[in-house]
Amino acid sequence: MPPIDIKPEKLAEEAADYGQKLQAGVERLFSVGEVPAGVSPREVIYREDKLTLYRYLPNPSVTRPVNTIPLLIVYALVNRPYMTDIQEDRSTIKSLLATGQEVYLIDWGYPDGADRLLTLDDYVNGYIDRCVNQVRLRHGVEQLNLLGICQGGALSLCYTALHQAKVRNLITMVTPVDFQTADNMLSAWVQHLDVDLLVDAQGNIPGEFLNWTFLALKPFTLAGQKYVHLLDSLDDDERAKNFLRMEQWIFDSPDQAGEAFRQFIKQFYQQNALIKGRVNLGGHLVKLKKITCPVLNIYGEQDHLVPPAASKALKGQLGGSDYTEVAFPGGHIGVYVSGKAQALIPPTIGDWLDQR
Amino acid sequence: MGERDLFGDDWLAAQQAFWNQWGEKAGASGGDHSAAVNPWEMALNQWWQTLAPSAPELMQELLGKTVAQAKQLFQLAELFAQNRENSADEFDWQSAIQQTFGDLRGIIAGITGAMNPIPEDMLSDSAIDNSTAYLQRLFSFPGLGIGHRSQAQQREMIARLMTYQKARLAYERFFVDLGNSAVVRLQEKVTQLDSQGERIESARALYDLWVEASESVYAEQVMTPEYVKLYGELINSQMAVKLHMRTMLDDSFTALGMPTTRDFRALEQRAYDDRKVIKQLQAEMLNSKATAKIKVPKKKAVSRKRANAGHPPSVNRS
Repeated sequence: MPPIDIKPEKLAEEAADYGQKLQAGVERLFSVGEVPAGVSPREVIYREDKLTLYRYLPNPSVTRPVNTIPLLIVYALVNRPYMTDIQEDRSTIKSLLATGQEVYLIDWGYPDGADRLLTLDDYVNGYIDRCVNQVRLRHGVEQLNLLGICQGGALSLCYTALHQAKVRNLITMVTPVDFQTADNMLSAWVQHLDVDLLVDAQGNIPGEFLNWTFLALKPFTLAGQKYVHLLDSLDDDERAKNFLRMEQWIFDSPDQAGEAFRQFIKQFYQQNALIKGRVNLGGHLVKLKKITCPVLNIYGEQDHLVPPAASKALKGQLGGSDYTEVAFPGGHIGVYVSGKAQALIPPTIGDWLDQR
Repeated sequence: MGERDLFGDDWLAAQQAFWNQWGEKAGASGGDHSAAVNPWEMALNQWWQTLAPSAPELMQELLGKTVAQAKQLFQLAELFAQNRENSADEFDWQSAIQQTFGDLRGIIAGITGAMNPIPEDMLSDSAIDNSTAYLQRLFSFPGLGIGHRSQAQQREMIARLMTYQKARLAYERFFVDLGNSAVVRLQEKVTQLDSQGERIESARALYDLWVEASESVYAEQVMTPEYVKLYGELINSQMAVKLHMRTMLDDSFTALGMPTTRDFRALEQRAYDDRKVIKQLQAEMLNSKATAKIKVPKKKAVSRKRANAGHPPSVNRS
């Protein structure tokens, strides 16, 4: 008997079953109503151009003592930061509040043509620095804690290296440091790319282009199989909502300011300049050795966007001796949204900060 | 919606009859059922066409993808099962895999299609081939007279289009080869299952194994220097077309006295430079204020500090 034995009658039954699931799933999707993302109450404390700086309101039911040093989250320029607070039971921010942290977050917004010429210097020494100053002033402190996520982690490393006096502790999550490890697919792809031509032709880089690139990392799974398996996730309202939230987030990619994109691809990916100490931001060289504060580096063991080796390369590059590494058994997104992550990551960050 | 019996018992009987006919027809017609209409696919299409217009935008896109993948899933399984039914003697499952899964271009085109800077039909093989003689004539003459600049631009545009077309074909060829490698990988995986005494009996299991095989081959192949070069050339040549297209449009707009991209870029640069100066002045003002604060009498400084502690700064101050 052949190892593949698909009989017509079985195939017909399977197709019928799939069709019925599809119908039921559609009915559920139509009936779930609004799917809000971003659940924790927050207030705006600063706005500049497209940027908004939020303060998350403390949860009154939390009895743990408040850490007097505020925590500022710097998210990536790609994708939207509501992933960190995507739903009630999957919110890194809510879990951080529960550890007694005062949490702030930079939302970069959606850059448009007016932002095309913004450089990495504008982002790091401009926007981030002004947000840091806002939080410091508000709390009357000289230093704050900084948490950088993904590309936001790389920007946070740059910021800390250039403004160490303002950062008490630095946490990097799924952050690339060595951009040319052998398993880094994104890095391989951009090596033959004429970034100048791309930015000159496009101006800002469309979010669609980034979506395409991220899907192309695993096209058969992300652009095909995921939708076949979708029907297995639609057996109750909550699972349906979870799927819709994630789907909305995945394709909610802001355009990238052209000049900043040009610099990031050239300096970080093509020249691997961060780990070589050659990133130049507005005439200032970023040297990781200038980071002397304690650093907590969290990476995903199954991260296909930022391979573990790309993050772990931070070890030994810093000027300080207080370096901690946490490996999370999950992928790039799982680090913030999986149940396992909720139980592990924010409490680890809270304890680590409280000790420092 | 209210069409709960769309995939019910009547349909199931029709579908079973449709697929059962393969074996019977195989001998009579040589197994060609390409013209036959599959009841499942027909029902699915009809159902989706009725439903889609009333779906919200996000849902339309999501469900459109789901319906498309469902079709693909069962088309693959159907093709495979058809090959099986049409085998007169011993079923050659390895050949059936090759015939069913040998070509991935359709799937990849679904992804790469979104990146084309201009509509695909303008860059089709036949469009380029049909123009070859014309292009050769065009390239053989220098641009002359009052329209020489325009002629030169058009020649440059055609040259860039041809470079892009070449890059796109090379990129597609890579995926044909990748498809062949994925078939071999799938055959290996099936053989492995066979040696473990396991069998694939459902469309879903076959599809999942194919995805697994394709993804593993893809992950290997797209890290090769060959692919990196192809990818770079594809994007670079697309952008070269786009950039030149913009230059030509800008020239046309200039002739009509309309604003161009060049004009906007110049204004953006000016606004950016002004912004830099403003930010610098704001920073200097802040520094001056901070210095002034240090110099004020102690009593006042304490009072201000207390005031700040009770009333955080308003949104856009400092």
